[in-house]
Amino acid sequence: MEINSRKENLKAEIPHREQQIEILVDIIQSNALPPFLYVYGHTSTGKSLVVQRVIESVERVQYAAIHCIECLSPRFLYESVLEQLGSQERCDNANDFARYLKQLSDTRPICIVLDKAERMRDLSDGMIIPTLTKIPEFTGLNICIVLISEIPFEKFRCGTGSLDPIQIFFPQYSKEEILDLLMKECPQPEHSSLYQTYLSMILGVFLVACRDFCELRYIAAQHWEAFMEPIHSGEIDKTQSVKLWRHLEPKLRSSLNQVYVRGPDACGTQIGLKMELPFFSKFLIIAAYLASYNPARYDRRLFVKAKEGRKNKDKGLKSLKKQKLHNAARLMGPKVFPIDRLMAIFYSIVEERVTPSLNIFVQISTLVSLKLITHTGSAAMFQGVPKYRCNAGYDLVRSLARTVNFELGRYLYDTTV
Amino acid sequence: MASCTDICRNILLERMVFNNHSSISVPDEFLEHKNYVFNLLKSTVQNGENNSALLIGPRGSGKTLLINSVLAELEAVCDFEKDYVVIKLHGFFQTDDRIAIQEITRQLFLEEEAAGRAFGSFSENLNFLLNSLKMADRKKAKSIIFIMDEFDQFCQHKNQTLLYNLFDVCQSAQAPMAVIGLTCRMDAISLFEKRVRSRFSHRQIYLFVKPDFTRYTETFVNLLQLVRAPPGLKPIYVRSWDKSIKDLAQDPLVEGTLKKLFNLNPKLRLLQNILLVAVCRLGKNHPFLSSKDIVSAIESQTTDCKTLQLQGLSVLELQLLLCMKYLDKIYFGEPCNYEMAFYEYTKQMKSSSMQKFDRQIAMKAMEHLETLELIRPVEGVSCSKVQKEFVVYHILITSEQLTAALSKYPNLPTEVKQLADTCL
Repeated sequence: MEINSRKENLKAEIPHREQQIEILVDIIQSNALPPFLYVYGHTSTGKSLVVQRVIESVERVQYAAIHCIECLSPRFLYESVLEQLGSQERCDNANDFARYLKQLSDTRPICIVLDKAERMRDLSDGMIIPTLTKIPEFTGLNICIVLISEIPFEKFRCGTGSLDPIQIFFPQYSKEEILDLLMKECPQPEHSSLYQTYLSMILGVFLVACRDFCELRYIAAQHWEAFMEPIHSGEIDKTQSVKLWRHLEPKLRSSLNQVYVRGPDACGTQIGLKMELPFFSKFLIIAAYLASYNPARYDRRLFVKAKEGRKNKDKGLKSLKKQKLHNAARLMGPKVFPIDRLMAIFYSIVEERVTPSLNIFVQISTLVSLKLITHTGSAAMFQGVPKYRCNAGYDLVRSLARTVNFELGRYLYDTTV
Repeated sequence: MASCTDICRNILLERMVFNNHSSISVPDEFLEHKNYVFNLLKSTVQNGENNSALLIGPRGSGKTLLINSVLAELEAVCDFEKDYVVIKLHGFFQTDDRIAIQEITRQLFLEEEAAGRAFGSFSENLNFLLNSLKMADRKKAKSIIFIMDEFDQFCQHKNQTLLYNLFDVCQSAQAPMAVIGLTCRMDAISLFEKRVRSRFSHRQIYLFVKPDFTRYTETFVNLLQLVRAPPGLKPIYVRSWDKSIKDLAQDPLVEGTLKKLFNLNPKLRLLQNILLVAVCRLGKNHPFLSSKDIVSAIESQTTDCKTLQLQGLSVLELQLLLCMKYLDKIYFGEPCNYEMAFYEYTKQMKSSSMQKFDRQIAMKAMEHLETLELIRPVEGVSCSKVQKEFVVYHILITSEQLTAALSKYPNLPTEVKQLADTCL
């Protein structure tokens, strides 16, 4: 039968999606298309691929596909659909859209597929989804609206409600299925059993953090050369899997920190690590960090001259450490501080004598423009004392402190990491 | 050569989608309302009376069905085109008064005549359209019937001009007109402005049906039985098919699941969707519907989607979610941010042998949870002012969903199970 051969072809092309292909082929190729289909599941589970292939394989059905990221307004949506169906009209409201659909010369059934449909929820005051799903009933044509999304349909309901869809779920691939799918992409088919051991190593490390199939495919492709290297150079034999694992493991662990973040300069996304800051600017950032994360009342103990303050400081900090996690400054976020507190801390941590001059204050403005410190407060900027908040992360400040030989840990009130 | 099963399947699939099957007819309780509306419209057409009414009923209760059957009956009795005109408006599509008047012009086929004219106000436009329906001798004018679907949407228009003008004409009997509104909002009348409300006849017809389980099972059987042998199918096949459906309806498993479904949502449309999914399973190897088909179809359409989503998350994401749930528990519902969740995560993972991930990966996992809308940033905090790590989130998952998802998660590490025991 033609239907069954179509299904078999699709199932061979797209493995591990048999059930979904069955349902979709049956629905799309019947004489009566249901008005509303909702396809959902995690990313990279094959939703768009399966829907596209199924609809393309049924020649009887016209097909228009939209990616909702491109639809800033309903007009883009309507005109794009009409263009794909062969009509050149301009259209910016739903009524004209329905009218032009009725005027199409091709009377075959139509499938309109909207990918990433969750981005479309707010168009037309949230009325776009109810309106679109009413189009088949309103025009009387044989139209099916297919929405593809990651999010369950319950989050799309709004207002007085709309038509309920037939829901088709695409489950996430299991470990065996991912292994099978990745085996199909083996770069060197003669090493297929070796590739299998390699893949199980990779999945053992990465599957805990990431089940996204596309991401795993990228990682598998990335490390294959490194894996094959000792075999090509003859160091380790093909069958000694334990040695191969020990060779590969450190590389995997280091790139584990770069999952989802591709590229050589994955870490250290904040500007400070890329460019060199002037000496005093570094101290300004450190002072801002201390001002944001230390409570103001402990400044005196921490920053009064080192010799005098040390005894008090130790006693004080011990009792403070009994504070509940709830008040841990590091976890709550940076607090706002006025500029004079910043300058006071700055002068006390910089070892040498610094005369307050315009240069220092200009550096503060530079830091604000680099978004390492943010200026808080409304338009009344010139009234009262300007207030700031530190935007730099702990890693950045720690690395800066290391470059200027400053012991950050000693001055932090709360040393929870 | 299509087999009997395929022909049967195609017929049933069409039936689930198009509502022109005989089992989908106006229910008996509505016959009274149907006659009432029919008489209303008939008097407009034949006697030139002005009437307005509002049909109120929940979604899927049969309002459009009722109106369509009334219009069909009217066409049989009166002379369409000669005596009356039907104009259908829809609140979702005519979102503006301007579009609405264009649509009315179009449905009256008066586009050429209106094209040359410039109208000062909406009422001028409407009056022009109504006058053009009068015959040359000004004695007998065609009656107009306005059917307005999603009526409550028209109340959102600016100044409610369309509604005001329609009801004004209706009230002052300038032309023989009937306005029937269909809406699912009970408080539709309270949406009217004062001047509109005073011109409305306050005739409201409520379409409520008390759900009845025996009627529900009857509809289930009627939707699936073939009854009459369509062309291409032998009567013997039709008989065996109908018998299999009857046996299916009496199967205790099917009955129990149908009862549960009925208690959850007795709407007809949901039943049609489910039966569509079930009928799709029919094929050469599977000539008759089994109870397993029905039960799995019901499950696929009524399952909790969030639990399914949770089963597809990675282990790290589950751990972070569990930590956030734990913080939620000990701080009595106060929202938490990424830093707190990560701190909790490192604390819980201190004694375990599992791989501990650093901040960057955990941050990406958190962002993924946000994209899936399993956690949501608290309102009122603008993301530009606060650093990414310190944005506070609400958790949109309940402990029951997490427990259910974790019990079905494949190859869950024992540490995560222990973490779940402490956190939930």
